[in-house]
Amino acid sequence: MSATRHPALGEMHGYGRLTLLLLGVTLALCLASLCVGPLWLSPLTVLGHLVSADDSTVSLVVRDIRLPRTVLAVLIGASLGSAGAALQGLLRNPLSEPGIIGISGGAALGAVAAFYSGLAAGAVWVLPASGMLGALLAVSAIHLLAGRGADILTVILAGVAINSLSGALTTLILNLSPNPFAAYEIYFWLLGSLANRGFDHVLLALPFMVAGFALLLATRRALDVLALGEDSAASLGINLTRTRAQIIAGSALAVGAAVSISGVIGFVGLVVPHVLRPWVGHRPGALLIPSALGGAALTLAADLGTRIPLAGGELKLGVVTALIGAPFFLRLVLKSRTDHR
Amino acid sequence: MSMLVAQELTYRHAARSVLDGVDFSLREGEVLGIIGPNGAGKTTLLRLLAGLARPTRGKVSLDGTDIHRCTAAERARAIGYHPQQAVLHWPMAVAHIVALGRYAHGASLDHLNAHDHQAIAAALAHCGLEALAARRADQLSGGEMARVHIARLLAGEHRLLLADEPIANLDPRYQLEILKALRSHARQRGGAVVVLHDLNIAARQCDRLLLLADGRRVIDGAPREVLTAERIAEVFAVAPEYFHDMGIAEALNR
Repeated sequence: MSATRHPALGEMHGYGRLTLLLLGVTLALCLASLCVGPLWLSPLTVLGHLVSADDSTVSLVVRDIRLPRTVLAVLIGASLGSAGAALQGLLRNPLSEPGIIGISGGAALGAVAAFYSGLAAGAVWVLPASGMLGALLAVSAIHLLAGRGADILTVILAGVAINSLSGALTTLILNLSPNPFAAYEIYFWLLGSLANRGFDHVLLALPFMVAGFALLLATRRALDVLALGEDSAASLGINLTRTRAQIIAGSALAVGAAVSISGVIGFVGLVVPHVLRPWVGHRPGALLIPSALGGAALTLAADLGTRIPLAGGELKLGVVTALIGAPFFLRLVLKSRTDHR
Repeated sequence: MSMLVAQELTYRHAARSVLDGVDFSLREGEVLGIIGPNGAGKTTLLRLLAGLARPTRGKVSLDGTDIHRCTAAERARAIGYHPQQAVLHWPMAVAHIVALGRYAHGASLDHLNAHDHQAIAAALAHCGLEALAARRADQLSGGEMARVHIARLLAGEHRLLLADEPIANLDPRYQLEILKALRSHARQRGGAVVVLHDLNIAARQCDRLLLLADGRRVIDGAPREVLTAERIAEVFAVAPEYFHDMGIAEALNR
């Protein structure tokens, strides 16, 4: 029967190469992330200390400082990239990302509230837990605002409203902050960073990110059919309510966990799916895994950028992703302008 | 024998009656055209038939089964739906778009079996799209894109096809090609219900017509019974000469 198979359909199985390439790039950047810093190490030294630890400073740097930072960059980047791809597919809008429907804003508000109340100082898990709680509250508020069976535009509008509200409340907390040092700490945390994070952060965030990613991945089929619009997708047997709930909850879990560990890191969820889309034949469902890998690679690269020694102190990760993302995004805008001419 | 029966279909939305007690049936192998002025309830009727909305009152049965009591998957296998102004949000390749029709049978683009491939190839051939199969959707003309949507519909191998203005904004050649494809589908697999604006084409291409106005059935029957000069003038609020000027009489005599 393979004679009836259309040659143009053969390409669909060719995305494995892209995935392998992205995996290779991600692994290479992981190695670089373990080697680069105030103390430069050779890849062989790094690998040696990963395999067998000793009490040396080098071992401490590799295993306790750089390894968790590297793992977090991968996890957070993968969460942002896959959530961005899923949200763009669901909302059928290439400009969507976790930021736009208030997920990142809600998570940031939750985390900042934990800082302000002093609860964050109590235990290491309080900050991520508050971030995820914030993300989930934001998503629940969007659901309540938009109502059952709401159309996508209403969901976006509700998300934008919740995002503005979270932003305003975050600023209010900064305003009310009793001592300038607390405000300063919150402000810098909001800029996003992976410095000084340990394996306890990894363990805390990992289950939520895995659960979130699994929810997103389960919508692959539905995302492909949604390219035809909601009515056609429903007529082909797709349960729109369930798909929407899976993607919103999956993004809340993955991005909520990410933001509460690292602070707000913009542009990854926006840029990565946008760049990779042509390489998967513009298939929204096929974009999820490459976007997770691409998000991991971009976050690792940006985190390497933060290690460039500066006189004024450390560059913030959110600043680097914005510095990479914004010009890139402008290029896309200019390109689409010439395309439509 | 009637494969599709709509009984007393009523749909109210925001305290307004959109459809009011519409009855009709579709016989095996038939193409039924739904005609009527703008706002008559044609699109709403098609969405009720597709199971995309639930009627306030009344029911739709396909082969004796109430379609609103089926699961979404059962409905998807039996009924194919082409929405008014069919859209494509991402510029996927033509073959991929057509393959989406197979999702009704549980396929996915990553898992297409031999039968899926056969159905996709047949749909591409039927709509004359073989040469364009690898082309990206944003490099197609409007006529080509309309054929891609029809091929997607045909690839689903549904028993019943519902198409809402599938030939709007198309050249005469494509209009005829698409209706021919729907007719041959109806003959082979079951039936088709098509919303049409062009009365001339409706007269020529449909086995029977259902005329709606203000959410009610005015009449249904053979084109010759439904399309009369007086009725068209009254329902569409046009001058009595319209019927002859537009050549509907000649279309009926073909």
